[in-house]
Amino acid sequence: MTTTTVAQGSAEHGRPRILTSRYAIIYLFVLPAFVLRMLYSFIPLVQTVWLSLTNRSLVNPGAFVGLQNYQFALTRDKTLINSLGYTIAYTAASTLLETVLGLGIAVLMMQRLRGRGFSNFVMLLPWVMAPLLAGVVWRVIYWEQSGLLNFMLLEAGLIDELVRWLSDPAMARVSVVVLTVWKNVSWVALIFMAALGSLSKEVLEAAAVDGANALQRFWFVTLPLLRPSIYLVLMLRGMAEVQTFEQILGLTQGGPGNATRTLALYSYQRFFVELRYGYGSAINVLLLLLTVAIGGVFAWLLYRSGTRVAR
Amino acid sequence: MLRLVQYTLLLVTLVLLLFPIYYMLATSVMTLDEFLRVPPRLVPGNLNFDNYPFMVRRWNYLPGLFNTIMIAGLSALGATLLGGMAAYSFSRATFAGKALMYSLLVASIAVPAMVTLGPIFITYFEIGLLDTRHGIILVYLAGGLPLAVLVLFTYYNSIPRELDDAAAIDGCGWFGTLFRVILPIALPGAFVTFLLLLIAGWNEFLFAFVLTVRPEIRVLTLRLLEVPSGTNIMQVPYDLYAVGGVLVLLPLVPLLFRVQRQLVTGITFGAVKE
Amino acid sequence: MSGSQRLSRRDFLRTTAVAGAGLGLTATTSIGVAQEEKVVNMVGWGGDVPPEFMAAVSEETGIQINYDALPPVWNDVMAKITLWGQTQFDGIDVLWADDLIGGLWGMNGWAEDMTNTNAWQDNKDDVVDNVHVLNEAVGGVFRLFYFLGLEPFFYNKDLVPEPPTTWEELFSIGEAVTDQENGVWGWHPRTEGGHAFNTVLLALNHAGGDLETLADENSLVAFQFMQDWIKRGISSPTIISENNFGLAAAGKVGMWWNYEGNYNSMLTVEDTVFTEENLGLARFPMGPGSDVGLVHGWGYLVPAAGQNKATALELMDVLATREKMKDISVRYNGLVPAMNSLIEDEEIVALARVLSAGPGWAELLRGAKFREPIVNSPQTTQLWQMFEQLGQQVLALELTPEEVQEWAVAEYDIIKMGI
Repeated sequence: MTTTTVAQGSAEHGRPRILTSRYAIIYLFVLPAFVLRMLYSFIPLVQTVWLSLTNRSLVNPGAFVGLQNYQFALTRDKTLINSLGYTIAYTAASTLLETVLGLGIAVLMMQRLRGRGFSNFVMLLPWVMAPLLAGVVWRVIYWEQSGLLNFMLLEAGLIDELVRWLSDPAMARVSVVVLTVWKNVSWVALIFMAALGSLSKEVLEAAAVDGANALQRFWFVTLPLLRPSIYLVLMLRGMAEVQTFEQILGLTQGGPGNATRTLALYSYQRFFVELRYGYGSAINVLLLLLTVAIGGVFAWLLYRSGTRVAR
Repeated sequence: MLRLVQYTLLLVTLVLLLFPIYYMLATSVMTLDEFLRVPPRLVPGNLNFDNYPFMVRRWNYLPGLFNTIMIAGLSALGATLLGGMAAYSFSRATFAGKALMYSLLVASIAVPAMVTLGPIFITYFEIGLLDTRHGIILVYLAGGLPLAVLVLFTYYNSIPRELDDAAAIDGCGWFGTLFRVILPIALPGAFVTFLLLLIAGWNEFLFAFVLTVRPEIRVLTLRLLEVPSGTNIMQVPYDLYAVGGVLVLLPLVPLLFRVQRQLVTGITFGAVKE
Repeated sequence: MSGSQRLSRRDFLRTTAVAGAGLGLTATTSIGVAQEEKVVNMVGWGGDVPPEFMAAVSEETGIQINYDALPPVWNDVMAKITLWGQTQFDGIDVLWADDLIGGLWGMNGWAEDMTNTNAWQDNKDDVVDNVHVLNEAVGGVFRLFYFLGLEPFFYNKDLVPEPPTTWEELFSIGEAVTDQENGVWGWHPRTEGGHAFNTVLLALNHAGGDLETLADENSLVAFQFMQDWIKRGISSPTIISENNFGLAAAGKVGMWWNYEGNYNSMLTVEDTVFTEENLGLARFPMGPGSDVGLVHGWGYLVPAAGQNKATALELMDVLATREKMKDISVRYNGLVPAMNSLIEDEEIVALARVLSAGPGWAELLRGAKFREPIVNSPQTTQLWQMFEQLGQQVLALELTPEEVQEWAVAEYDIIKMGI
């Protein structure tokens, strides 16, 4: 962050700056955005934490119950434990896959291939598609007995029997990851393209002179240089995937059974479908903790890698 | 040989990325019976465009489109404006609480939407903002602020301070510097920010679903759940869903084609450079 | 958050005045609010026919009806309607509600109890018994059913000459029919998203499970029975995610259940293998507990928060009559009515072919229950979610019947604790 101060009119020197109109203007510029954002992020957050300590619901006006919701959730609610487990697994799998595939696509796209503009356009399409819509479209593609995906795989001889994309709980968990990766991989690729573009040519060329082959150059030179970008992508995608709601709503609605019910879907079900405001809020607090943990870890790694590279 | 491999890989990637969107498009010009046929068809037998006028009429496409443009557009505009103003202060001034406010704004990215949704719903209900256009616009606007501040802060910082100094010598103050130096250079950045937020608002579903009730103010993503039944009310009208999907996505496509280069810069600006 | 508050976006005074008039009107239905043009905002369900019906009613009564249709996917409908009720949305004066929606709205005080209206009193003697049983259970008349349907047992007579009468026969016939190589399945109940709760309720009813606890042996028997469909190979594991309609119409399913309206659709869909000759309908095979089916229905519900409630109730007097019930049934090409005299009406029997199919409608309907205990609790959505997930979890085969039961009992506990 910058600490440079703009050249200020000499007339202002020596006066308490709080009194100058310029100082008021600075705050006038910052405060609307700041206050509004706080009103819509941290204030509701505090409300959620408060709600989670009550039993407010459709049938209860809401009394303070302490940690009862959390106790119940963590000791007796199996759906929640499963949901927590799947959320973590889903986030890890989709974030890692997006990063690896995104990096691969970025490296490919940086090989000075023709039609870069067209490729960018096509790549952006899944990303600009409404997540809910993407979920619905993929659901149809995944149809097992009459769907296109199974039909094409059968025709191509890649499978012998129909794959149960959405009816088999284990497979459905994977199918959801596939959809997420499809939706977001291009975003990751674009970030890596920019990062690759900004790498210093001299270092790469020096390595080439040293006789390293392409794979070695990538592994020992490019990858370490990309480390900050990788952490950044892991952080942003991790925080986004852990909250995934809409595309799963479109694809499986959390099913079969509760197989793909991520924390966001589960808290939505409790809060908005079943109108249990207290209990739903407790699940939301768990979701928040998970998001902050992911953000925190990678932000720290990012910060550390940034300072090390700088040195 | 290497080139061939590279182009093949590129082609495979693009086909995989494009395929579901193609299938949606293909479905939208099939009849329901043709779509439900086993085995399924990759290419429609006859092009049947009847669904489009039907959906535009019965699905009330144009009012939905208007709402989407209004809500996504105004919120993106507001966030770009307010975020741009804040970023200007953050970039060009020192003041008490600057580090704290900046950190809080950026850290607010880590607050999941789902966590804020419940309290916002309850509060909106209590103060009468529920089911209003400005209510939902404010949510999107506030949601877009961190990105707007980040992107524009980076843009402003890339503008050399010498230009500020030169402007100061010319007698420019806070506003003078903003309008003469910063804005002309940062305008493309602001435009990209606006587009990113417009797309985000265009596709948002969760908040719109919970916070709006009246059909008159509902946006297109919500209307996706309100596709009318076709001729057979016992069947889910997948053909009409596909038409709806195309109609939601379509207005973004020319926009995307024209601005994909800037958009790429924008995404990467917001993310890579901190 | 409960009923005391309403949306304040419309003119408050006017709304209060109309609501006040509405209260007066409940007692003496003949007084109208004649100074204004009468308008009713109605939200319904279905395709192209109802707007015409409503236009005709509009002309006859002088009440302008603004009709809007619900989305066709059940989960979406439920989510939207919960939101409307929860927010005391005042923009709907008449809502077409099924037993679940009616349960949710009625039991939470979001719907008018129409017990004392002429609309109910004048026609109730003709209404089928199943509805009276439901009204008794929910303690009020929260909707006037224009349609009462069934979740019947279908079979393909080309594959299954005689329908099974016991669970064991279901398996033996199913095994004989199933030909996995050619994608032919013996038994394909409808269990995909939003419909699994019906299937599990059917199995529980047939097994004689205790619906108030789900903790008994019989409930376990029901879960085991359902898992055996897949384990013994008479049902495809994909029943949990796929509709059975297309497969059945293609002649690839021996036995299935689907809603009664599918009887007509099955005969008319393109490339169907069915005529009235080979499309079979029967009571469910007898389980250890019973063979009773499930009924569901749609009716007119008047929201308590509607801004034109008085006019809406006035409209009910017209819509609830036998004449209008018949009209809508005919215009829907044979929607099954909820009135005894209409079920026997020749014109309707000719249109709703399901009425004369199989052993006859009265026999199919005998003892069939609405979706209790879901529809007679204020926690309708919680129970509905629980049974829906219960059905899906049983059929996902990831958990043993015992584990599923353990889950269900714990879930029931949360619901009863009210947290």
